[in-house]
Amino acid sequence: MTTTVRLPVVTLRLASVVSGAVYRRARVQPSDISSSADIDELLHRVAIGDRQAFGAFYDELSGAVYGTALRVIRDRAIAEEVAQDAFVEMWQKASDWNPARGKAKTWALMIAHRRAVDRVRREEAMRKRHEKTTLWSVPHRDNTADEVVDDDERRRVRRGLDALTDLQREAIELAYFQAMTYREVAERLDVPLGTIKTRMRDGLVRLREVMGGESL
Amino acid sequence: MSDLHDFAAPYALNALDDAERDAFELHLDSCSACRDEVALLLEAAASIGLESETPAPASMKGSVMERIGADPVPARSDLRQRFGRWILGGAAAAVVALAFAAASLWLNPSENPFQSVVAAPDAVVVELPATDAFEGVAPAARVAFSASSGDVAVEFIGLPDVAPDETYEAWIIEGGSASPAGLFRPDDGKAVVRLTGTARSGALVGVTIEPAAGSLQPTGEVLFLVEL
Repeated sequence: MTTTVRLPVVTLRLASVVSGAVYRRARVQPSDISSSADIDELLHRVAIGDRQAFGAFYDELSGAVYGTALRVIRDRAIAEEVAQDAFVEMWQKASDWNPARGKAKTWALMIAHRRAVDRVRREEAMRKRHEKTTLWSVPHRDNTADEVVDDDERRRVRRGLDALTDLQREAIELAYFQAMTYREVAERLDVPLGTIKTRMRDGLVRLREVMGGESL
Repeated sequence: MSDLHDFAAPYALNALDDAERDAFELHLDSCSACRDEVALLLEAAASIGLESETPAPASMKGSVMERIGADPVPARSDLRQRFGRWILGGAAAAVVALAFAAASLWLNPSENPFQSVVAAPDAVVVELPATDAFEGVAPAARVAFSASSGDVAVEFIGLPDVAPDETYEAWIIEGGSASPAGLFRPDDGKAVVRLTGTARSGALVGVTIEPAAGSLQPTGEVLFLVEL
């Protein structure tokens, strides 16, 4: 069935300035820019191609994304590269984000952490292959960056992780910051696989209880 | 193969190897209990990342914005397979928002079915793009959707008239089948419709032109289409 539709002239006499006012729900206060509700809303707008919203989304999360990459990768240049890649991935996949599955912040940090871990494992694999064919050891870390990161870690208050038992924290830190698989963690700690998975789960549940409604 | 359910915590920590991760993600597609667990544990993992916050190098933002610069937001891959590249990219969204801001004064907000869906705490408003089948200047159109209630409403400005023996019909398309979701005709180019039925996240909302009494299945070409 073909239909010819008469088309009226649609004139939009409006400037190209993006106000965002219509998309912003009234209950979100302009000053409260760090709340999850705002970041969720930004990601909704990113998903339909709003570049200005993406810039604001970047501003909200660049510290957490870069910081996560830095603590896992321990090399500033590579961490910056990985953090950039993560944001580009977020732009490209924004329309895949399902708000029913979790907050925008959570989604963003999962992407950042996954990329950081993958990068470390790739570098490790390359280093091991290289070591087999060379007579000298190839340093794969920027050692000065290491010192700065270690200092920072010692001074940093880690309210969440400090609330875990030693065993839970140890399992989670080896995975999260050392990019180890749970099998490697089990091997390193000489503990059964099931025990490691349980410690990870219990630790994360405890972490959520402690951190739950605050930073997220 | 050990029980996949206890992969949820290592998954949230990115502590699975590639093969295990692929297997678990496949499992997630069909296990809502695991999806719920993963959502919870990912929040916890995210809090570790948030505690790691360190100011990014100032030059990083420019590099990121440049890389996404000319990149259109890609259509979701499953839509592309089914309907071709009919989803329009971004800058139109800003103009649409302003158009509605200016035009919505004509209806008392409390009686406006679109606003009643927007009022839900988890409501999302997205552009409803016209497809390639639509000729001429596309109307400004948008969809409001609340995932928790499944309510959907659509709103148009500048929607062309149709012949007296025709009507616009809205559809909710889930699992490959389309359900009739309401008939409407524009009044001076404007239309506001609360769709009948409910939709889940991931469903499609479409609009076709049908005979005046409506159809049980779409017969006209899809003129507007969006994925919720």
